[in-house]
Amino acid sequence: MIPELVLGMGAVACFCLGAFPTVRRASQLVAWFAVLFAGAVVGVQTGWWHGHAVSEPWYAAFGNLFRWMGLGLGLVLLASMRPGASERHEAESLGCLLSAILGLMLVGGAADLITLFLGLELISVASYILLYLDRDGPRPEEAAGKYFYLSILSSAVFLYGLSYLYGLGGALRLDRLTHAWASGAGTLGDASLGAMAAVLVLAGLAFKITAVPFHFYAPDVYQGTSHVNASLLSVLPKAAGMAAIIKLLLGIMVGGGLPLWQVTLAVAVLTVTVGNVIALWQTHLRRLLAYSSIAHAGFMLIGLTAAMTYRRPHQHPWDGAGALLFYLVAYVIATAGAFAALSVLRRGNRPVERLDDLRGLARSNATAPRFIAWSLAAFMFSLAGIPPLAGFWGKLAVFFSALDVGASPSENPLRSRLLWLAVIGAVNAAIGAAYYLRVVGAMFFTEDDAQDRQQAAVVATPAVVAVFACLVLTLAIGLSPGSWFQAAHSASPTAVPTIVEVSLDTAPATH
Amino acid sequence: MELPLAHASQIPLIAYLLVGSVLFVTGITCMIAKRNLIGILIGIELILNAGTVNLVAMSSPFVAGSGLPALDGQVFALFVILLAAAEAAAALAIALTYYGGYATIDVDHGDRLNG
Repeated sequence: MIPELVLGMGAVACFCLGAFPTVRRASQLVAWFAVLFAGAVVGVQTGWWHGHAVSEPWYAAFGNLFRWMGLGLGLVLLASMRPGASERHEAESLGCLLSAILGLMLVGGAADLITLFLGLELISVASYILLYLDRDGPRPEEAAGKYFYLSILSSAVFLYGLSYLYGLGGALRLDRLTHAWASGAGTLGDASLGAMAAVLVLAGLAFKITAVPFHFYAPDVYQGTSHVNASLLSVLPKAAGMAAIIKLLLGIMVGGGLPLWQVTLAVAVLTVTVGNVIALWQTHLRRLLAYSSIAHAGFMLIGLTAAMTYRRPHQHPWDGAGALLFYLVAYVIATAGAFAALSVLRRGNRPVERLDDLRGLARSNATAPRFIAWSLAAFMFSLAGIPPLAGFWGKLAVFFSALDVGASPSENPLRSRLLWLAVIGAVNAAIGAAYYLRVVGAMFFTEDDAQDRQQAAVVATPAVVAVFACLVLTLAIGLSPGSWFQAAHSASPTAVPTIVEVSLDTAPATH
Repeated sequence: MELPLAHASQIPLIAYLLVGSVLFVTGITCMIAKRNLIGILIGIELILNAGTVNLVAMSSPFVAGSGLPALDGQVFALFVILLAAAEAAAALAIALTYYGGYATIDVDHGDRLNG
């Protein structure tokens, strides 16, 4: 709880400092201090230098995973926020950034529906304000308007679904809901309302993770805002949405006998296909990465579907939820790194936005643009799933989790569908490689032929360090994925769907 | 918990849920039909209130058939009301900048990002 309090106080301090023009520059310091201090506290609490605690229950490991993810993303995004770009609103932007990280950490550690919902909304409201404050993007007001109205609609639908979930389960605490969902112990005796609750909750969360058919806002919003905001929108809501999906769908609703896996299977197939195919035509870098983030949500949903259809309590190497979490970590690092790398590049006084702006970057005379080109290439290869980078192991784990169900004994009626799911995923991974290679090709194999444009240059900011850190992590996970798989598995809800022995009484109290 | 308002329990829970669903559908219709940012905001408030009505009714000791002992649904409802206020503030700020950029708050003009 202390790390969350520190971040909350840091956010409040940033907002307060923003009111006084003489001291508002101190908000930078406050924000860095809050994130680093919270990180130190999490480090002490989890005792990471002792190695991994074996007896840790999955929800504690789950919460800690999202704490680390939130704090790491906080450092990358803090470094990418260029001081001076939006100097008038710097303090407010930093406060919103801290709130959004806090939201992700709360969703990860949530033990009841109120904390879960408020954590998601903390991310949403902070990102509305960040989009609103942004004056760097080409069409900030349109991006802010579109994102706001669609996001708040999804939150309202999600809340309506939660109200039925509450009525059916008779409690707000997740562990009690898990017990009550299957037995129907709540106020509403009619179990057919469970399907409605599930559909509404899934629809609300599908927006956060940009799953088809709730994906269409992402390309427009990313294009209309700045690189840093697009980075935040493509990682924080997606990670929080995945955490909520694991907690609600996989932790609670799977036990109710609903055919939810059919819905997630259909959504997964549509999402990977639509995201990857439409991305082939994109020439604007943020639109391309938006479709890429849609496609990656689809790959994660393949892992979710596999986890929902697996019938035995298990801790086997290819369990779907662990694969999803590993994939999420690899995706988040590569995407945050790619946006941080794009945010330091300039041509003249213009940010690099289109695919053509990257031409000849790797053949530049200066060292810094070459470093950025190589890093960007590594992130693209990781997103494309090319070994030995982190994204490769993520894709491998997700596909094998689907194949594992597909290869299970023949009485399982789902096996052929899961086999097809894995095949469709693999075909899509090949399609996806095409557009990532276009980015790499533009940097490495084309000359910068436009004479009227200025050379690409790198603005020296802390973001370069963030790019380097993401690059090291991508390589490190890719070269020794074993311990990372271990961490992902210890955080995945095992023994789904007979999850009844889970009790959240000793969970980190985050409400 | 014994409460003196026995006559209030004549209204069954399903009536409250029906009110909630009417609010939900009205809100969705309002969001689809209105072309005006403030009109859409009103639709959102209706949908949020649909969830709030459900939460309060399901945990209320005065509603027949809702036997939930704790009042945590009502606590949730209070949080949702706070959230709706925060979101209305953000919505009005966004509508103002939208007006600054387009000299209208009609959403049909916001199509300059090629979709």
